[in-house]
Amino acid sequence: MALNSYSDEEILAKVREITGDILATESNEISANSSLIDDLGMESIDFLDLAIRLEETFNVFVPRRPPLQRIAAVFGREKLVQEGKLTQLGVRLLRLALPEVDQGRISEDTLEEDIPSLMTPQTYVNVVKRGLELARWQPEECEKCGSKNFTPADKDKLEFPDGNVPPGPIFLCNSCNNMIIAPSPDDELIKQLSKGLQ
Amino acid sequence: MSPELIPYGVPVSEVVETMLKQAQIVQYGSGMHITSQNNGESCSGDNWIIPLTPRMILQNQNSALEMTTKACQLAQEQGAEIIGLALMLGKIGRRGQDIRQRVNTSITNGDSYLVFNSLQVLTKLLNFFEWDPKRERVAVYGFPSTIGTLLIEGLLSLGIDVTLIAKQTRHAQRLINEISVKYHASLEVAASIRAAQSKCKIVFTAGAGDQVVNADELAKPAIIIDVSFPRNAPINDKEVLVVDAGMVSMPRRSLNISGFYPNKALPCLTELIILALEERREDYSLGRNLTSRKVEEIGTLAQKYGFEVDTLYSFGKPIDMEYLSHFKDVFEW
Repeated sequence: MALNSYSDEEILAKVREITGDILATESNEISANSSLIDDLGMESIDFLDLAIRLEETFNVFVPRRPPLQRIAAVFGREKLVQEGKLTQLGVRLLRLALPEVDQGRISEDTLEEDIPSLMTPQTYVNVVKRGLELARWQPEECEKCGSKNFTPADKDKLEFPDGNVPPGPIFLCNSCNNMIIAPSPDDELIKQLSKGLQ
Repeated sequence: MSPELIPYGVPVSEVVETMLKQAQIVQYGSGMHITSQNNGESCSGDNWIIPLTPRMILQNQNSALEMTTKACQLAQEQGAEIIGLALMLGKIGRRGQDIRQRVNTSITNGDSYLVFNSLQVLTKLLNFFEWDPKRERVAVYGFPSTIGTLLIEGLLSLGIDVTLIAKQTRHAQRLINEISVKYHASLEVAASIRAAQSKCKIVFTAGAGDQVVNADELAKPAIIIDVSFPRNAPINDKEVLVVDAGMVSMPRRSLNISGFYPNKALPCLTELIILALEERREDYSLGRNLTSRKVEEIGTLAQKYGFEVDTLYSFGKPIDMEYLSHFKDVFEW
Protein backbone atom coordinates (compact mmCIF):
# COMPACT_ATOMS: atom_id res chain seq x y z
CA MET A 1 0.00 0.00 0.00
CA ALA A 2 1.40 3.37 -1.00
CA LEU A 3 2.03 5.92 1.70
CA ASN A 4 -1.09 7.96 2.40
CA SER A 5 -3.09 5.80 0.03
CA TYR A 6 -6.03 4.06 1.61
CA SER A 7 -9.31 3.03 0.09
CA ASP A 8 -12.54 4.16 1.72
CA GLU A 9 -13.15 0.57 2.82
CA GLU A 10 -9.76 0.36 4.49
CA ILE A 11 -10.33 3.62 6.33
CA LEU A 12 -13.82 2.55 7.41
CA ALA A 13 -12.50 -0.79 8.66
CA LYS A 14 -9.94 1.02 10.82
CA VAL A 15 -12.50 3.53 12.10
CA ARG A 16 -14.80 0.66 13.09
CA GLU A 17 -11.94 -1.24 14.72
CA ILE A 18 -10.78 1.77 16.73
CA THR A 19 -14.34 2.75 17.70
CA GLY A 20 -14.98 -0.82 18.83
CA ASP A 21 -11.80 -0.77 20.88
CA ILE A 22 -12.74 2.52 22.57
CA LEU A 23 -16.28 1.43 23.32
CA ALA A 24 -15.38 -2.18 24.14
CA THR A 25 -17.80 -3.28 21.41
CA GLU A 26 -17.33 -5.76 18.59
CA SER A 27 -16.52 -3.86 15.40
CA ASN A 28 -19.07 -5.93 13.46
CA GLU A 29 -21.77 -4.23 15.54
CA ILE A 30 -20.66 -0.87 14.16
CA SER A 31 -21.88 0.16 10.74
CA ALA A 32 -20.76 3.10 8.65
CA ASN A 33 -23.93 4.98 9.48
CA SER A 34 -24.36 4.08 13.15
CA SER A 35 -24.78 7.21 15.24
CA LEU A 36 -21.71 7.21 17.46
CA ILE A 37 -23.75 8.65 20.33
CA ASP A 38 -27.29 7.42 19.87
CA ASP A 39 -26.51 3.89 18.67
CA LEU A 40 -23.14 3.21 20.25
CA GLY A 41 -23.14 5.32 23.41
CA MET A 42 -19.99 7.27 22.71
CA GLU A 43 -19.23 10.01 25.25
CA SER A 44 -17.49 13.29 24.56
CA ILE A 45 -14.19 12.13 26.04
CA ASP A 46 -14.32 9.11 23.70
CA PHE A 47 -14.32 11.43 20.68
CA LEU A 48 -10.91 12.67 21.78
CA ASP A 49 -9.64 9.11 21.97
CA LEU A 50 -11.01 8.43 18.51
CA ALA A 51 -9.28 11.51 17.10
CA ILE A 52 -5.95 10.58 18.63
CA ARG A 53 -6.09 6.96 17.54
CA LEU A 54 -6.96 7.96 13.99
CA GLU A 55 -4.10 10.43 13.93
CA GLU A 56 -1.68 7.74 15.07
CA THR A 57 -3.02 5.22 12.58
CA PHE A 58 -3.12 7.42 9.49
CA ASN A 59 -0.54 10.04 10.43
CA VAL A 60 -3.03 12.81 9.75
CA PHE A 61 -4.51 15.64 11.77
CA VAL A 62 -8.04 15.07 13.06
CA PRO A 63 -9.84 18.21 14.27
CA ARG A 64 -11.01 18.02 17.86
CA ARG A 65 -13.89 20.47 17.68
CA PRO A 66 -17.26 19.26 16.40
CA PRO A 67 -18.32 20.62 12.97
CA LEU A 68 -20.77 23.21 14.26
CA GLN A 69 -18.16 24.78 16.55
CA ARG A 70 -15.65 24.89 13.71
CA ILE A 71 -18.13 26.59 11.42
CA ALA A 72 -19.33 28.93 14.17
CA ALA A 73 -15.76 30.13 14.76
CA VAL A 74 -15.88 31.74 11.31
CA PHE A 75 -19.53 32.53 10.62
CA GLY A 76 -20.53 33.39 14.19
CA ARG A 77 -22.66 31.14 16.37
CA GLU A 78 -25.61 33.55 16.40
CA LYS A 79 -25.93 33.21 12.63
CA LEU A 80 -26.07 29.42 12.84
CA VAL A 81 -28.13 28.81 15.95
CA GLN A 82 -31.06 30.72 17.38
CA GLU A 83 -33.11 29.67 20.38
CA GLY A 84 -31.29 26.36 20.41
CA LYS A 85 -32.21 25.45 16.82
CA LEU A 86 -30.37 25.70 13.54
CA THR A 87 -31.02 28.72 11.35
CA GLN A 88 -31.46 28.46 7.59
CA LEU A 89 -27.77 29.29 7.14
CA GLY A 90 -26.85 26.80 9.87
CA VAL A 91 -28.76 24.08 8.03
CA ARG A 92 -27.05 24.84 4.72
CA LEU A 93 -23.57 24.94 6.21
CA LEU A 94 -23.98 21.85 8.33
CA ARG A 95 -25.35 19.89 5.40
CA LEU A 96 -22.27 20.89 3.42
CA ALA A 97 -19.96 20.00 6.30
CA LEU A 98 -21.60 16.62 6.88
CA PRO A 99 -22.43 15.30 3.40
CA GLU A 100 -22.46 11.71 4.68
CA VAL A 101 -25.38 12.39 7.02
CA ASP A 102 -28.95 11.83 5.82
CA GLN A 103 -29.59 15.45 4.83
CA GLY A 104 -33.18 15.23 6.00
CA ARG A 105 -31.89 14.94 9.57
CA ILE A 106 -30.42 18.42 9.37
CA SER A 107 -33.26 20.93 9.36
CA GLU A 108 -34.41 24.08 11.07
CA ASP A 109 -36.02 21.83 13.68
CA THR A 110 -32.67 20.26 14.55
CA LEU A 111 -31.68 21.13 18.09
CA GLU A 112 -28.11 22.28 18.65
CA GLU A 113 -27.67 19.66 21.39
CA ASP A 114 -28.61 16.90 18.93
CA ILE A 115 -25.95 17.78 16.36
CA PRO A 116 -23.18 15.63 17.87
CA SER A 117 -25.54 12.65 17.48
CA LEU A 118 -25.30 13.07 13.71
CA MET A 119 -21.68 11.93 13.76
CA THR A 120 -21.10 8.44 12.39
CA PRO A 121 -18.04 6.31 11.54
CA GLN A 122 -18.50 7.57 7.97
CA THR A 123 -18.06 11.14 9.27
CA TYR A 124 -14.64 10.11 10.51
CA VAL A 125 -13.84 8.33 7.26
CA ASN A 126 -14.35 11.68 5.55
CA VAL A 127 -12.30 13.46 8.21
CA VAL A 128 -9.43 11.03 7.63
CA LYS A 129 -9.71 11.43 3.86
CA ARG A 130 -9.48 15.20 4.21
CA GLY A 131 -6.53 14.71 6.56
CA LEU A 132 -4.78 12.51 4.00
CA GLU A 133 -5.37 15.13 1.32
CA LEU A 134 -3.93 17.75 3.59
CA ALA A 135 -0.87 15.60 4.27
CA ARG A 136 -0.24 15.40 0.52
CA TRP A 137 -0.55 19.18 0.07
CA GLN A 138 2.22 20.98 -1.80
CA PRO A 139 2.49 24.71 -2.54
CA GLU A 140 2.22 25.90 -6.13
CA GLU A 141 4.64 28.76 -5.71
CA CYS A 142 6.24 30.84 -3.02
CA GLU A 143 3.89 33.71 -2.27
CA LYS A 144 6.90 35.90 -1.44
CA CYS A 145 9.27 35.39 -4.39
CA GLY A 146 7.26 33.28 -6.83
CA SER A 147 9.78 30.43 -6.85
CA LYS A 148 8.48 26.92 -7.54
CA ASN A 149 11.29 25.09 -5.76
CA PHE A 150 10.61 23.94 -2.21
CA THR A 151 11.96 21.56 0.38
CA PRO A 152 9.70 19.88 2.95
CA ALA A 153 10.57 21.28 6.38
CA ASP A 154 11.12 19.23 9.52
CA LYS A 155 8.53 20.63 11.94
CA ASP A 156 10.54 19.52 14.96
CA LYS A 157 13.37 21.83 13.94
CA LEU A 158 11.15 24.87 13.51
CA GLU A 159 9.99 27.23 16.21
CA PHE A 160 6.49 28.64 16.34
CA PRO A 161 5.87 31.77 18.38
CA ASP A 162 2.71 30.54 20.14
CA GLY A 163 3.94 26.95 20.44
CA ASN A 164 1.10 25.69 18.24
CA VAL A 165 2.55 23.58 15.46
CA PRO A 166 0.43 23.77 12.29
CA PRO A 167 -1.20 20.40 11.54
CA GLY A 168 -0.39 20.31 7.81
CA PRO A 169 2.92 20.06 5.98
CA ILE A 170 5.37 22.94 5.89
CA PHE A 171 7.79 23.77 3.09
CA LEU A 172 10.76 26.08 2.87
CA CYS A 173 11.29 28.06 -0.31
CA ASN A 174 14.65 27.14 -1.82
CA SER A 175 15.13 30.69 -3.10
CA CYS A 176 14.11 32.97 -0.26
CA ASN A 177 13.77 30.49 2.65
CA ASN A 178 10.18 31.63 3.19
CA MET A 179 8.14 29.24 5.30
CA ILE A 180 5.05 28.04 3.44
CA ILE A 181 2.41 26.47 5.65
CA ALA A 182 -0.40 24.25 4.35
CA PRO A 183 -3.91 25.59 4.93
CA SER A 184 -5.38 24.35 8.19
CA PRO A 185 -8.28 21.86 8.17
CA ASP A 186 -10.52 24.72 9.33
CA ASP A 187 -9.38 26.86 6.38
CA GLU A 188 -10.14 23.98 4.05
CA LEU A 189 -13.55 23.44 5.61
CA ILE A 190 -14.43 27.10 5.23
CA LYS A 191 -13.24 27.04 1.63
CA GLN A 192 -15.41 23.99 0.99
CA LEU A 193 -18.43 25.62 2.63
CA SER A 194 -17.98 28.95 0.88
CA LYS A 195 -17.78 27.15 -2.46
CA GLY A 196 -20.92 25.20 -1.59
CA LEU A 197 -22.82 28.36 -0.68
CA GLN A 198 -22.17 29.98 -4.05
CA MET B 1 -13.00 44.81 35.86
CA SER B 2 -14.17 41.21 35.53
CA PRO B 3 -12.44 38.90 38.04
CA GLU B 4 -11.53 36.70 35.08
CA LEU B 5 -9.39 39.47 33.61
CA ILE B 6 -6.10 40.96 34.61
CA PRO B 7 -4.67 44.19 33.16
CA TYR B 8 -4.11 44.07 29.39
CA GLY B 9 -7.24 41.94 29.09
CA VAL B 10 -5.50 38.58 29.33
CA PRO B 11 -7.64 35.93 31.06
CA VAL B 12 -6.07 34.59 34.24
CA SER B 13 -6.51 31.04 33.00
CA GLU B 14 -4.28 31.78 30.00
CA VAL B 15 -1.58 33.30 32.22
CA VAL B 16 -1.68 30.26 34.50
CA GLU B 17 -1.51 27.89 31.56
CA THR B 18 1.43 29.75 30.02
CA MET B 19 3.27 29.39 33.32
CA LEU B 20 2.32 25.73 33.63
CA LYS B 21 3.72 25.02 30.16
CA GLN B 22 7.16 25.82 31.58
CA ALA B 23 6.64 23.66 34.68
CA GLN B 24 7.92 20.14 35.27
CA ILE B 25 6.37 17.05 36.82
CA VAL B 26 6.83 17.37 40.57
CA GLN B 27 6.99 14.78 43.29
CA TYR B 28 5.12 16.63 46.00
CA GLY B 29 5.36 16.29 49.75
CA SER B 30 7.37 13.93 51.89
CA GLY B 31 5.49 10.73 51.15
CA MET B 32 2.47 9.33 52.91
CA HIS B 33 2.62 6.37 55.29
CA ILE B 34 -0.60 4.70 56.35
CA THR B 35 -1.25 1.95 58.87
CA SER B 36 -4.67 0.56 59.58
CA GLN B 37 -5.53 0.45 63.27
CA ASN B 38 -8.05 -2.27 62.52
CA ASN B 39 -5.77 -4.90 61.04
CA GLY B 40 -2.25 -3.45 61.03
CA GLU B 41 -1.98 -3.42 57.25
CA SER B 42 0.17 -0.59 55.96
CA CYS B 43 1.20 1.10 52.77
CA SER B 44 3.11 4.13 51.64
CA GLY B 45 3.04 6.33 48.61
CA ASP B 46 3.89 9.61 46.99
CA ASN B 47 1.99 12.36 45.25
CA TRP B 48 3.04 13.44 41.80
CA ILE B 49 1.80 16.64 40.30
CA ILE B 50 1.42 16.93 36.56
CA PRO B 51 1.22 20.64 35.69
CA LEU B 52 -1.82 20.59 33.42
CA THR B 53 -5.27 22.11 33.70
CA PRO B 54 -8.30 20.13 32.44
CA ARG B 55 -8.44 22.49 29.46
CA MET B 56 -4.78 21.84 28.63
CA ILE B 57 -5.39 18.10 28.87
CA LEU B 58 -8.35 18.26 26.52
CA GLN B 59 -6.56 20.56 24.08
CA ASN B 60 -3.46 18.41 23.83
CA GLN B 61 -4.23 14.93 24.94
CA ASN B 62 -1.07 13.50 23.36
CA SER B 63 1.12 15.74 25.46
CA ALA B 64 -0.95 14.94 28.58
CA LEU B 65 -0.54 11.22 27.93
CA GLU B 66 3.20 11.62 27.49
CA MET B 67 3.60 13.61 30.71
CA THR B 68 1.42 11.21 32.67
CA THR B 69 3.34 8.23 31.30
CA LYS B 70 6.61 9.88 32.32
CA ALA B 71 5.29 10.52 35.84
CA CYS B 72 4.10 6.92 36.09
CA GLN B 73 7.50 5.67 34.91
CA LEU B 74 9.26 7.83 37.50
CA ALA B 75 6.94 6.49 40.20
CA GLN B 76 7.56 2.96 38.96
CA GLU B 77 11.34 3.50 39.16
CA GLN B 78 10.83 4.49 42.79
CA GLY B 79 9.03 1.25 43.48
CA ALA B 80 5.37 2.09 42.95
CA GLU B 81 3.31 -1.09 42.68
CA ILE B 82 0.01 0.57 41.91
CA ILE B 83 -0.75 4.03 40.58
CA GLY B 84 -3.89 6.14 40.83
CA LEU B 85 -4.78 8.51 38.02
CA ALA B 86 -6.62 11.52 39.37
CA LEU B 87 -9.42 13.58 37.83
CA MET B 88 -9.02 14.21 34.09
CA LEU B 89 -5.89 12.06 33.90
CA GLY B 90 -8.05 9.04 34.65
CA LYS B 91 -10.48 9.98 31.90
CA ILE B 92 -8.18 10.46 28.92
CA GLY B 93 -6.58 7.73 26.84
CA ARG B 94 -9.54 5.35 26.99
CA ARG B 95 -9.98 6.12 30.69
CA GLY B 96 -6.44 5.19 31.68
CA GLN B 97 -5.93 2.17 29.43
CA ASP B 98 -3.45 3.93 27.12
CA ILE B 99 -1.24 4.86 30.07
CA ARG B 100 -1.50 1.31 31.38
CA GLN B 101 -0.19 -0.01 28.05
CA ARG B 102 2.88 2.17 28.43
CA VAL B 103 3.83 1.31 32.01
CA ASN B 104 4.42 -1.90 33.85
CA THR B 105 2.45 -1.01 36.96
CA SER B 106 -1.17 -1.54 37.92
CA ILE B 107 -3.41 1.49 37.53
CA THR B 108 -6.75 2.59 38.88
CA ASN B 109 -8.73 5.76 38.30
CA GLY B 110 -11.09 5.57 41.27
CA ASP B 111 -14.34 5.39 39.33
CA SER B 112 -15.64 2.39 41.30
CA TYR B 113 -15.13 4.22 44.57
CA LEU B 114 -16.65 7.38 43.09
CA VAL B 115 -19.89 5.51 42.43
CA PHE B 116 -19.86 3.96 45.89
CA ASN B 117 -19.17 7.31 47.55
CA SER B 118 -21.92 8.99 45.55
CA LEU B 119 -24.40 6.49 46.97
CA GLN B 120 -23.01 7.08 50.46
CA VAL B 121 -23.44 10.83 50.02
CA LEU B 122 -27.07 10.26 49.05
CA THR B 123 -27.62 8.03 52.08
CA LYS B 124 -26.08 10.67 54.34
CA LEU B 125 -28.34 13.34 52.88
CA LEU B 126 -31.46 11.20 53.19
CA ASN B 127 -30.59 10.40 56.80
CA PHE B 128 -30.08 14.06 57.59
CA PHE B 129 -33.35 15.04 55.97
CA GLU B 130 -35.07 12.01 57.55
CA TRP B 131 -36.42 11.04 54.16
CA ASP B 132 -37.24 7.36 53.65
CA PRO B 133 -35.10 5.93 50.81
CA LYS B 134 -37.90 3.51 49.92
CA ARG B 135 -40.25 6.43 49.33
CA GLU B 136 -37.83 8.75 47.55
CA ARG B 137 -37.40 8.82 43.81
CA VAL B 138 -34.01 10.09 42.67
CA ALA B 139 -33.17 11.52 39.26
CA VAL B 140 -29.98 10.78 37.36
CA TYR B 141 -28.78 13.20 34.70
CA GLY B 142 -26.14 12.07 32.27
CA PHE B 143 -27.35 8.58 31.44
CA PRO B 144 -26.05 6.60 29.57
CA SER B 145 -22.56 7.60 30.70
CA THR B 146 -20.54 4.74 32.20
CA ILE B 147 -20.66 6.27 35.68
CA GLY B 148 -24.33 7.21 35.31
CA THR B 149 -25.25 3.66 34.38
CA LEU B 150 -23.42 2.18 37.37
CA LEU B 151 -25.00 4.77 39.63
CA ILE B 152 -28.47 3.75 38.49
CA GLU B 153 -27.67 0.10 39.18
CA GLY B 154 -26.43 1.08 42.63
CA LEU B 155 -29.58 3.08 43.39
CA LEU B 156 -31.85 0.27 42.24
CA SER B 157 -29.95 -2.26 44.31
CA LEU B 158 -30.61 -0.02 47.34
CA GLY B 159 -34.31 -0.14 46.49
CA ILE B 160 -34.45 3.52 45.44
CA ASP B 161 -36.67 4.40 42.49
CA VAL B 162 -34.91 6.17 39.66
CA THR B 163 -35.91 8.67 36.99
CA LEU B 164 -33.46 8.99 34.14
CA ILE B 165 -32.98 12.34 32.51
CA ALA B 166 -31.99 11.20 29.07
CA LYS B 167 -32.68 11.32 25.41
CA GLN B 168 -34.47 8.20 24.21
CA THR B 169 -31.64 7.04 21.98
CA ARG B 170 -31.33 3.46 20.80
CA HIS B 171 -28.28 2.95 23.00
CA ALA B 172 -30.06 4.42 26.03
CA GLN B 173 -33.14 2.29 25.38
CA ARG B 174 -31.02 -0.85 25.12
CA LEU B 175 -29.38 -0.13 28.46
CA ILE B 176 -32.71 0.76 30.09
CA ASN B 177 -34.13 -2.57 28.96
CA GLU B 178 -31.10 -4.46 30.29
CA ILE B 179 -31.21 -2.69 33.65
CA SER B 180 -34.99 -3.07 33.95
CA VAL B 181 -34.74 -6.82 33.44
CA LYS B 182 -31.74 -7.20 35.77
CA TYR B 183 -33.35 -5.29 38.66
CA HIS B 184 -37.02 -5.98 37.89
CA ALA B 185 -37.43 -2.23 37.93
CA SER B 186 -39.54 0.15 35.96
CA LEU B 187 -37.36 3.11 35.12
CA GLU B 188 -39.03 6.41 34.41
CA VAL B 189 -37.50 8.63 31.79
CA ALA B 190 -37.77 12.42 31.84
CA ALA B 191 -36.82 14.74 29.01
CA SER B 192 -35.45 17.48 31.25
CA ILE B 193 -34.19 18.03 34.77
CA ARG B 194 -37.13 20.29 35.50
CA ALA B 195 -39.55 17.54 34.43
CA ALA B 196 -37.78 15.02 36.66
CA GLN B 197 -37.86 17.41 39.60
CA SER B 198 -41.64 17.19 39.77
CA LYS B 199 -41.13 13.78 41.38
CA CYS B 200 -37.52 13.90 42.56
CA LYS B 201 -36.06 16.16 45.22
CA ILE B 202 -32.51 15.00 44.57
CA VAL B 203 -30.76 14.93 41.21
CA PHE B 204 -27.45 13.23 40.49
CA THR B 205 -25.45 14.83 37.68
CA ALA B 206 -23.22 12.21 36.11
CA GLY B 207 -22.79 13.39 32.55
CA ALA B 208 -19.76 14.03 30.41
CA GLY B 209 -17.70 17.11 31.17
CA ASP B 210 -19.38 19.18 28.47
CA GLN B 211 -22.90 18.52 29.78
CA VAL B 212 -23.18 21.59 31.93
CA VAL B 213 -26.40 22.21 33.85
CA ASN B 214 -27.36 25.85 34.24
CA ALA B 215 -29.28 27.25 37.20
CA ASP B 216 -32.16 28.30 34.95
CA GLU B 217 -32.72 24.67 33.92
CA LEU B 218 -33.67 23.82 37.49
CA ALA B 219 -36.84 24.17 39.49
CA LYS B 220 -35.79 25.71 42.79
CA PRO B 221 -35.02 24.83 45.46
CA ALA B 222 -32.89 22.05 44.08
CA ILE B 223 -30.49 19.51 45.50
CA ILE B 224 -27.78 18.28 43.15
CA ILE B 225 -25.20 15.61 43.89
CA ASP B 226 -22.50 16.33 41.34
CA VAL B 227 -20.62 13.20 40.34
CA SER B 228 -18.85 14.55 37.27
CA PHE B 229 -15.45 15.99 36.64
CA PRO B 230 -15.30 18.57 35.16
CA ARG B 231 -18.40 19.53 37.11
CA ASN B 232 -21.80 19.28 35.47
CA ALA B 233 -23.31 21.71 37.97
CA PRO B 234 -20.98 24.64 38.63
CA ILE B 235 -23.94 26.56 40.04
CA ASN B 236 -23.62 29.39 42.51
CA ASP B 237 -27.18 29.95 43.68
CA LYS B 238 -28.45 30.01 47.26
CA GLU B 239 -31.50 27.99 46.29
CA VAL B 240 -29.42 25.24 44.72
CA LEU B 241 -27.50 22.91 47.02
CA VAL B 242 -24.64 21.30 45.08
CA VAL B 243 -23.11 18.42 47.02
CA ASP B 244 -19.76 16.97 45.96
CA ALA B 245 -20.06 13.25 45.28
CA GLY B 246 -16.34 12.71 45.10
CA MET B 247 -14.93 14.17 48.29
CA VAL B 248 -13.82 11.85 51.06
CA SER B 249 -12.59 12.73 54.55
CA MET B 250 -9.44 10.85 55.53
CA PRO B 251 -10.42 8.53 58.40
CA ARG B 252 -7.89 9.52 61.01
CA ARG B 253 -9.61 7.47 63.70
CA SER B 254 -8.99 4.19 61.94
CA LEU B 255 -5.83 4.98 60.01
CA ASN B 256 -2.52 6.22 61.32
CA ILE B 257 -1.30 8.58 58.65
CA SER B 258 2.02 10.35 58.59
CA GLY B 259 3.93 12.39 56.07
CA PHE B 260 2.18 14.61 53.61
CA TYR B 261 -1.49 13.86 53.26
CA PRO B 262 -4.63 15.81 52.50
CA ASN B 263 -7.46 16.10 55.03
CA LYS B 264 -9.87 15.17 52.33
CA ALA B 265 -9.19 13.00 49.36
CA LEU B 266 -10.63 12.38 45.94
CA PRO B 267 -12.00 8.94 45.03
CA CYS B 268 -8.91 8.01 43.00
CA LEU B 269 -6.64 8.47 46.04
CA THR B 270 -9.10 6.74 48.34
CA GLU B 271 -9.45 3.75 46.05
CA LEU B 272 -5.68 3.63 45.64
CA ILE B 273 -5.09 3.61 49.41
CA ILE B 274 -7.67 0.87 49.94
CA LEU B 275 -6.17 -1.32 47.21
CA ALA B 276 -2.64 -0.73 48.53
CA LEU B 277 -3.68 -1.63 52.08
CA GLU B 278 -5.28 -4.78 50.69
CA GLU B 279 -2.12 -5.53 48.69
CA ARG B 280 -4.28 -5.64 45.59
CA ARG B 281 -1.85 -4.62 42.86
CA GLU B 282 -4.33 -4.81 40.03
CA ASP B 283 -5.96 -2.63 37.40
CA TYR B 284 -9.14 -2.02 39.35
CA SER B 285 -11.07 0.84 37.77
CA LEU B 286 -9.73 1.22 34.29
CA GLY B 287 -11.36 1.81 30.94
CA ARG B 288 -15.02 0.97 30.62
CA ASN B 289 -14.54 -2.23 32.55
CA LEU B 290 -16.48 -1.07 35.62
CA THR B 291 -18.99 -3.35 37.28
CA SER B 292 -21.48 -3.06 40.10
CA ARG B 293 -19.64 -5.98 41.73
CA LYS B 294 -16.49 -3.85 41.95
CA VAL B 295 -18.49 -0.92 43.33
CA GLU B 296 -19.87 -3.15 46.08
CA GLU B 297 -16.46 -4.69 46.76
CA ILE B 298 -14.59 -1.40 47.04
CA GLY B 299 -17.39 -0.14 49.30
CA THR B 300 -16.99 -3.12 51.61
CA LEU B 301 -13.23 -2.63 51.70
CA ALA B 302 -13.64 1.10 52.31
CA GLN B 303 -15.75 0.43 55.37
CA LYS B 304 -13.16 -2.06 56.60
CA TYR B 305 -10.60 0.75 56.71
CA GLY B 306 -12.95 3.37 58.10
CA PHE B 307 -13.64 5.43 54.98
CA GLU B 308 -17.10 6.88 55.37
CA VAL B 309 -18.98 10.01 54.51
CA ASP B 310 -18.79 11.93 57.78
CA THR B 311 -18.87 15.36 56.16
CA LEU B 312 -20.76 16.62 53.15
CA TYR B 313 -18.86 18.99 50.90
CA SER B 314 -19.90 21.57 48.37
CA PHE B 315 -17.24 22.83 45.97
CA GLY B 316 -14.62 21.30 48.30
CA LYS B 317 -15.87 23.07 51.45
CA PRO B 318 -17.80 21.42 54.29
CA ILE B 319 -21.50 22.20 54.11
CA ASP B 320 -22.86 24.20 56.98
CA MET B 321 -25.56 22.23 58.86
CA GLU B 322 -27.73 25.31 59.13
CA TYR B 323 -27.66 25.71 55.38
CA LEU B 324 -28.54 22.05 54.98
CA SER B 325 -31.44 22.43 57.43
CA HIS B 326 -32.74 25.30 55.33
CA PHE B 327 -33.22 22.92 52.42
CA LYS B 328 -34.97 20.40 54.66
CA ASP B 329 -37.36 23.09 55.82
CA VAL B 330 -38.02 24.38 52.34
CA PHE B 331 -38.79 20.95 50.95
CA GLU B 332 -40.94 19.91 53.88
CA TRP B 333 -42.88 23.14 53.72
